[in-house]
Amino acid sequence: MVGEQLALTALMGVFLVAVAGFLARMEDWRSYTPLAGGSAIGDAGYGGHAEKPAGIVRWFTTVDHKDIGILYGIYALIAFFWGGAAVLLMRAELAAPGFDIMQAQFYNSLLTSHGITMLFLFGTPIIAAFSNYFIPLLIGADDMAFPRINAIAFWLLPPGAILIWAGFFTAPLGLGIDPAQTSWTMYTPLSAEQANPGVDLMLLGLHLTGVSATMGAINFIATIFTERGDEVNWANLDIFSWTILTQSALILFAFPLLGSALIMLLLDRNFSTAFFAVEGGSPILWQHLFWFFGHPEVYILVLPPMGLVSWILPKFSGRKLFGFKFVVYSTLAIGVLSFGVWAHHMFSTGIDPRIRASFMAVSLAIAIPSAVKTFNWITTMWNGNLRLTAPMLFCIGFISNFVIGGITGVFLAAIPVDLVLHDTYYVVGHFHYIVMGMIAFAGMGALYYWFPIVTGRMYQRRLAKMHFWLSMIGTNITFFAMLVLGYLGMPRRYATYQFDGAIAPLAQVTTLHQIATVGAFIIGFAQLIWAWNMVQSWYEGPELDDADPWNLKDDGMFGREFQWFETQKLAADGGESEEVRADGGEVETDGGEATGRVSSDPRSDGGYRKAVRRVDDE
Amino acid sequence: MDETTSDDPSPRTWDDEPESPARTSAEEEGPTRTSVWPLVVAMGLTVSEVGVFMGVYPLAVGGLVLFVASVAGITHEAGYTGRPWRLAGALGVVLVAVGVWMVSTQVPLAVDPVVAAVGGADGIVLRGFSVVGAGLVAAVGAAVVSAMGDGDVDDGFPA
Amino acid sequence: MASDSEGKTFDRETLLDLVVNAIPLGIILFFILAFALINPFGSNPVNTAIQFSIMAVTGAALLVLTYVSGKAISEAEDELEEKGLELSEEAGAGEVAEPESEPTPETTDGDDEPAA
Repeated sequence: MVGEQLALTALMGVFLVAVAGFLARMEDWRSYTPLAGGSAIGDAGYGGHAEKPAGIVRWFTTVDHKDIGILYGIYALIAFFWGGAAVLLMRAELAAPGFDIMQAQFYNSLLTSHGITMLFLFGTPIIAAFSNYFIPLLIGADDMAFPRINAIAFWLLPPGAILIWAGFFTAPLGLGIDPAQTSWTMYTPLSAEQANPGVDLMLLGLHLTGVSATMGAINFIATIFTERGDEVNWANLDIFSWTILTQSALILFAFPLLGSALIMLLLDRNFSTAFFAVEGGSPILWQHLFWFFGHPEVYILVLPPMGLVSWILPKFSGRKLFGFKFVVYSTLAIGVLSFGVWAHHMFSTGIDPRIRASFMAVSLAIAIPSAVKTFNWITTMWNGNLRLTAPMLFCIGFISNFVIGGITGVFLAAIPVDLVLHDTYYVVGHFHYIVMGMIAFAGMGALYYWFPIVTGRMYQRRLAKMHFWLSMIGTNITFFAMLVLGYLGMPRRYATYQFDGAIAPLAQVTTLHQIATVGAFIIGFAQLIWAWNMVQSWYEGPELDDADPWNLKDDGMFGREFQWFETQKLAADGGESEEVRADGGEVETDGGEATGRVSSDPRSDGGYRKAVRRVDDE
Repeated sequence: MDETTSDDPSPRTWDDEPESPARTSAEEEGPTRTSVWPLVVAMGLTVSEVGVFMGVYPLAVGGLVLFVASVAGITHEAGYTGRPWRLAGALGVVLVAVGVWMVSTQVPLAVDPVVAAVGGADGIVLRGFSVVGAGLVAAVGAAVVSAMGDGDVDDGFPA
Repeated sequence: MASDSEGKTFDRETLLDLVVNAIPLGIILFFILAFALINPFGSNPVNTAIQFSIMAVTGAALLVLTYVSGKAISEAEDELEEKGLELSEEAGAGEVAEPESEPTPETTDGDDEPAA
C-alpha cells in the first residue's frame, strides 16, 4: 500500500516535471498576444494567423476553431469505430439464441460502452466538429468568442473517453477494475450496487464530457450572440447556426443537471449517501433526473443534424429552403418542449396516471415541429433540380429514416402503446432509426459536403455512393428487423433469447436477429469503405481548382462558408502550387462543370451519372 | 517564427501559406492561434478529479497543483491578470480552506480527533488532507517563485 | 400591413410564420381542456397541480420564446431592409462572393411562402 503510494507519487512528480518541460519548451517560440476579454479581436481575418508550431505540437496547442473542429472530428470518428466494434461483437453474439461467443457480463459491458460511446463520445463531438469549424465562418466571426475555453473543452474529451473505457483496458491486468455493466442509462439501484471501481471511473469520465459539452455550449451562445459579422443578424442567420444556438441552450440546462446527478450517484456509491436508495430519495429519482437530462439530450443530438440537412439539402435542390422561418421557429419550439416530455421514458414505472397523461400530451405536441421540418424538406426538393451527390443522398436518406424513426416515436409517446412495447426491441429500432439513420447520416452528408473545404481536395465519388447505399440498406435491414422483433415481444438488453416457444415464436425471433446481424455487418463494411475514402482522398484526392466544387454559384447558393473558402484560395494561390503531390498530374476535379448541373466527376461517377442526367434533362 | 509546414500531419492547402516575414513581425495584430495552457488545464482537472474522488492521494495533490498553476497561467495569458503567481497563491489558499472544510465535516477540528481519523484511514479526512496539501504546495510554491522574480510577463517560464 | 391586435409588433408575414408554433400550443391547450373535463383518475391537490403545470408551464414557455424570437427576427428584418441588404442565408460574411445570379423562377424565397 505504502509502496504503491510512493510509486504513484514518483510517477506524479515525473508527470509534473514533464509538463513543466513541455511548457518551457513552448516558451521558446511562443509570443504573447494578451487579449482583453479573451476574444480574438483584430481585422486581420483568417489570413492573419499568428504562427503555429510544426508537427504534432501544433495540434496540442491550437486554439484555432478550425483545428479544434478537425480534432473533434477525428476524436468522434475514433469513438465511432470503438462503438461500432462493440456493437458488431454484440450482434455476432445475438446471431444465435445461446451464449456462443461471450458471457453475459461481457455483453453487458459492450452494451454499456456502445451506448455511452455513441451518444457522448461520437454524437456530441461530431456535431461539435462541424459547429467549431463552420459556425464562425457562417456568421462571419474571426474565431469563437473564447478560443482557449474552446480548446479546454476539447481536451477534456480524450481523458473522458479513456476513463469511460477504462475497464476494458484494466480488466486483463487483474486489478479488479472491470468495465461498467450499467447500461447507458445507469439506472439505480443497479448502478449504485455494482462494487466495481470501473463504474466510478466511467461516471467520472462522463462527468468530464459533460463539463466539456457545457463549456462548448457557453462558447457557442456567446459566439453567436456577440461575434456575428456586421452583415449577419437574426433575420439572415443561417439555419445551422440557429440549430446550434438552440442545442447550446439545451446543453446549458441539461448537462449541468447530468453532472449533478452523476456526482450524487458517485456519492451514493462511495460515501454512503442515500439519494437514490430505496430508503432515501428512491431509485425513481434517478430516472427523473436522468431523463430530465436525457430527453433534451435526444434533441441536443438531433437538432444540429436537422440544421445540417436544412443547410445542405437546398444546395442540391437548386432552390432555397422552403419555409425557412418555419424551420427556425419549430427548432425553437422543439427546444422548449423537449424539457416537458422526460417522463415518457417512465410510463411503466408506476408514476401517477394524471402526470403520465400530461407527459403524453406534451410528447404528442412535440411531434408537430418535427413533422413541419420533414414537410419543409420534402417541399424544398419538390420540383427542384436535384443533384444526387453523396451529401444529397445522405440528406435524402436522413429524411427517409426520420419518417420511420419519427413515426414509431409518436406511437411510443402514446401511453397504451408504450405499455405494450416498452423495453422491447421496438424501442431499440425506433431510436436507432434516429441516431444512426438521422444523426450519423447527416454527419456523413456534412463530412462529404465540407470535405473540399477542410482538405482542399475532393473525395472519391464512387466510394462515397457505395458508402451511402450500403449504409442505407444496412440501416433499414437492421433496424426494421428490430421493430418487428419488438412486435414479437423480444426484450431489450439481453445477451440470449432462449425462451419457451409458447411465449414467442423462437424460430422467427432467431431469423430476425440474424437479419439484424447481417444488416449490422453491412453497415460496418460501409464504414470501412468510408474510412478508406476519407484517408486516401485526404492525402491523394484531386485538388480543387476553384472554390466552388458543388457549382453552387449557378443557383445563387454559394454559402458564406464557401465564400470564405474562396478568399482563402485566392489568398493562398502561389504557395499552393509549390507543394508536390503524388498525383499532381492527374485530372483536376469537376468535369461536371461544363454541364453546370452535374457536379459529379465523370471519372468516378459510374452508374449514377445517368440518373443525374435524366433529372437534368427534364 | 519561420517554421515550415512540411512535416505538418495535415496536408491542408490554403491554411499553410508560407509565413511572410512581414506577417511574422506583425503577428501581434492577429488573433492568437495557439496556447499551451488548455491541454494542461484539462489534464489538471482530470487528474485531480480522479485523484480526489478515487482517493489516490498522489494524483489528487499533483493534479490539483497542476490545475491551479494552469488556471493561473491561462488567465494570465488571456490578459485577465497581470500577476499569475498571486492568483496561483490565492487559489492555493482556497484549496486549503476547502480541504479544511472537508475534514471538518467528519471530525471536530482538534488535534486528537483528527489524528485518530487519519490513523483510522478515514477516507474523507484523508481526501481533505490531500486537498490541503495541494493548496499548501500551490500557495508556498507561488510565494517562493513570486519572491524570486516580480512575476512579470518577461520572466519567462511559465509566466 | 394591416393586422389584428398584435399588428404593431408583428406584420402579417411574421404572424403567418409564427403559426407554426401555434399548432403544438393548440395541442397542449386541447389536452388541458380534455383533462379538465374528463377526469377518470379523480383529483388530488398535488398530482393534479403537477399534471396541469407540466402542460401549462411548457406551453407558456413556448409562447414566450416564440414571441421573443419573432420580435427579434422581425426587428432584424427591418434593420436589414433599412441597410438594403439581402434577406438570405447566403448573404453576409464574405464580400468577395460573385454577384449572385438571379434565382430561377421556381426558386422563391421560402420566407415569403404562406403555410403549405
